[in-house]
Amino acid sequence: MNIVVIGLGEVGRHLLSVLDKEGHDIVAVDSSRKAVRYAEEHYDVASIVGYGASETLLKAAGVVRADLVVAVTDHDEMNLIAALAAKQLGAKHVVARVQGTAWSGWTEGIRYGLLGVDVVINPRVLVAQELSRIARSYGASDVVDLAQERVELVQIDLGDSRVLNKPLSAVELPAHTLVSAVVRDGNLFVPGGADVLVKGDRVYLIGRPEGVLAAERLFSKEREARRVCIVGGGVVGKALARELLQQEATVMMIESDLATAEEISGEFQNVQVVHGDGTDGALLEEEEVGTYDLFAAVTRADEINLMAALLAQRAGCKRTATIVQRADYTSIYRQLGIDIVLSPRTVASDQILRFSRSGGIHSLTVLADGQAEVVELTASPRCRAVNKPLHRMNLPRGSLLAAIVHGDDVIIPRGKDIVHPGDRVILMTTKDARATVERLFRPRGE
Amino acid sequence: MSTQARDFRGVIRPVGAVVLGIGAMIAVCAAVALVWDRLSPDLTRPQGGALALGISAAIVCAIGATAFFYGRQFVSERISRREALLAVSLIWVSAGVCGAIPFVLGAGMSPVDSFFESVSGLTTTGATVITDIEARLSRPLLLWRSLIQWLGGMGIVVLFVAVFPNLGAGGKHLFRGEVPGTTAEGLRPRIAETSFALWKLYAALTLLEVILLKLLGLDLFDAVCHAFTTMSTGGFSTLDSSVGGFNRPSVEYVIASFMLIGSVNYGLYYGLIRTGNWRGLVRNIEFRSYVRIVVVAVTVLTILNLDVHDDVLTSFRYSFFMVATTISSTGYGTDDYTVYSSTALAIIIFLMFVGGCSGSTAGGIKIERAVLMGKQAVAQVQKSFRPASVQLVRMGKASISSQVLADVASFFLIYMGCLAVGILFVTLVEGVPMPTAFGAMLTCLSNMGPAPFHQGPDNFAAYSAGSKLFFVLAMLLGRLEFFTLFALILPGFWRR
Repeated sequence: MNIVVIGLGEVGRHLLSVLDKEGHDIVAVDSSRKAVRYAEEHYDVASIVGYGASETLLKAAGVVRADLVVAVTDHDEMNLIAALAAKQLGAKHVVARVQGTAWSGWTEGIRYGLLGVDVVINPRVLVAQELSRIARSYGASDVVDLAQERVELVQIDLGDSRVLNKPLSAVELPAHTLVSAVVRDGNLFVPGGADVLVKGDRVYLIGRPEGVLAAERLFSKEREARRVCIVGGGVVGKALARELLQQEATVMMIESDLATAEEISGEFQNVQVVHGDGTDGALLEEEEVGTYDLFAAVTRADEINLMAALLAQRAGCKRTATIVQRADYTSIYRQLGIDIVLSPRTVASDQILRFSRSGGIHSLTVLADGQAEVVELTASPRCRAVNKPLHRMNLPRGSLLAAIVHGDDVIIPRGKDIVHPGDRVILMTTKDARATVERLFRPRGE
Repeated sequence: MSTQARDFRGVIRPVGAVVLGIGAMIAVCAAVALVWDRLSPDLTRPQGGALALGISAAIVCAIGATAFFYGRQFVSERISRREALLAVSLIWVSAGVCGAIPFVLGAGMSPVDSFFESVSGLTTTGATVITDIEARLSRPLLLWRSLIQWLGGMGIVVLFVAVFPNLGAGGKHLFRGEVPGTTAEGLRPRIAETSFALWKLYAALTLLEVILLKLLGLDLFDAVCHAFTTMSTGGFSTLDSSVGGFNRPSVEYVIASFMLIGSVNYGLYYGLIRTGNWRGLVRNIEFRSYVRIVVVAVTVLTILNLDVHDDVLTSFRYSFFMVATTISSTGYGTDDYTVYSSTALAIIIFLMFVGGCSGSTAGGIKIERAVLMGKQAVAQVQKSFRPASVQLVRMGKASISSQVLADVASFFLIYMGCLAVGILFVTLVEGVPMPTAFGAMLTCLSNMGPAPFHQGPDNFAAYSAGSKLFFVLAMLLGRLEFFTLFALILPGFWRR
């Protein structure tokens, strides 16, 4: 596939690293010589230095023949114009990333066809929505909605729990749920009935939302977060507050800029706004953050988020969440004991990566640093996998058909279940099994 | 400061893979030569040699396979810059050693002579230590001698990168270790595809030349061997008297044209084929300078050589060939340049220095570098009386960064330094006159071939073994454009 990536910030670089490994022809564009040199040095891509939204540059980068153009610079308008121009010039798919809310609004993390750009993504809003879903869950460290909220994928880090130290077959999972993958010591595997879960495992549960909620109770002792403290009143903070208020949670927000704090107070009458520094331990004590169910540090500065979350933990808060711009830091955050670490970069790249695959993938979620992924696609009438029972489908090792969405019905399939043409299926595959699985669900002869 | 040594064992496997590939090439060469000798034997040449090639193939394959499988345990996920430089250097040296084995076994040459011949081939220098090619080498060996030149022309590492597309950014580092020019890459986004495209073009041009030479009535064997050594701008011939031995103007014009074609940046051809638009080629500053230099040199040389040759046409025929063979650093001979006037000789020496375009198979300083150096010099001189003026060096529309200029300047410095040191070394060790040492060093560093200012025959047979090894080093330095090999000398390269 011919791909042009405009903007080599955090998201751009991450995309390059993933797309390069998948073997695409990539042209990387940035106005900074330094960023371009970095890309040249580390990835097998061609590169151009220049202004991303100029016609000559777009043509030189080959957008005319491109299958996918991704605009992820730091400027929303430049991204939109670059994507729009690329589309006009003949690019097949164009994706733009925005970070403000002028274009995406507060509630829509993804907009299709805005101004003629195929997809406009606002990762900050997406992250806020993900955080609000986590707040609603019982102890999950990540929640992903699939198939228009008919299926949920949750990630749970096992603490003390009733499911430990016995074979998985002896755990009575609620109906319509499935343990799709386990990460132990950094390695992901697809568990069988004989596998035993131990403390510290990270478990990926998939199933109908109500079933998953019941399963969460089994796997974790936490409760839904009714009282949430947010540090940072930026785009993520505000979008999160909005979602949480809809869930009728109690929200307190700590914001260091007085004008912003006042503005938020005026905008959200049900939010208790505190003007102060989120990394001020005394302030956190005074505001009794220890009594809150969830503490979410979502400012733009990674250091502030980390320190605030650590202080909140010391003040007695049971669940802490942060967002992190540099996704490389994720594992360090976890080692430090932060429960929930989300990265807008990962969220954005998941959304973009699905366009680099053939055959209309509706969503793609990367698990465990790319060791596996969950994809959601519509089974073509002409593919090999349809109209035969699951046990004859020859799914490769390391892959799992996690759910079939047939009309409004969600089936967590067993050996005899059948995928009908036009059904939406949710598949989990490890890196090695991916190509084989894709072949099964791709129309014959493509 | 830590003195811990780096772990470089990650290069064993790629080097092993290339050695294995060379073994396979020798085997193919042996098989082809064997069949060829059966179907249309040429009794005027020495017989045999295919068996020696077969044995060499077995030896080389065994070494390569051992390294390849032994190196499996040390494979690094991505080849780093340092590893790439080391791998490229090792690949060239080991390819030289492997390529020498058939000469030792098949022609009874001494190991040092064989190594010299092999490296001279790979680096497309074309200097030889064999005084009687026609009486000494059988056809299988001649084919191998031309084939290594062809392989070295576009580059063995480039071929390696094309064949193993999964090297990612590591492939890029390898590619740059062998082709350090500024504009050779970037034909395609992925380096493996770039390498593949280059090789395809190279092979297609070679095939075209084989067909043309065959149509002109050359024996197929001679056509293939000369096409191999023309496109690579190498200069090995199957005749003692080189291309002049055919004494056919049409053959000379075809070969001269292909030498000129081979010393143009292949990226320009690629652009031409892909877009069908001549503009990219015609507007390229380096190409224009190249054409200008060729036209002027041919004209002046034709006039000057009227002293030696009687009529204008004959003078043009020999002068055109001389310019083509020199600027492309090929080194075929059709004419005796020792009788040229000293002005004509000076022009030839100048062409040897300059060489072909960057991104081509030609050697020398490269026209792009020469042009940049010139412009930079003018800019600096201008600064001496207008210090406040901004002097950007441009190549066409693109302005050249000071980084690149510094790179070019240091290249020039290293080149001249090597030349000077080499001249001293050869004069002291061999006791030859200064011009002789100069000719030998220049021809090796520029990967040219013949040795001007030499007494007697135009080859390197008379030098001692030590000097031959020294010339081998000079040829490798010239082919890899210095930086790759010199990096290995610095202690910081090996330290952690």
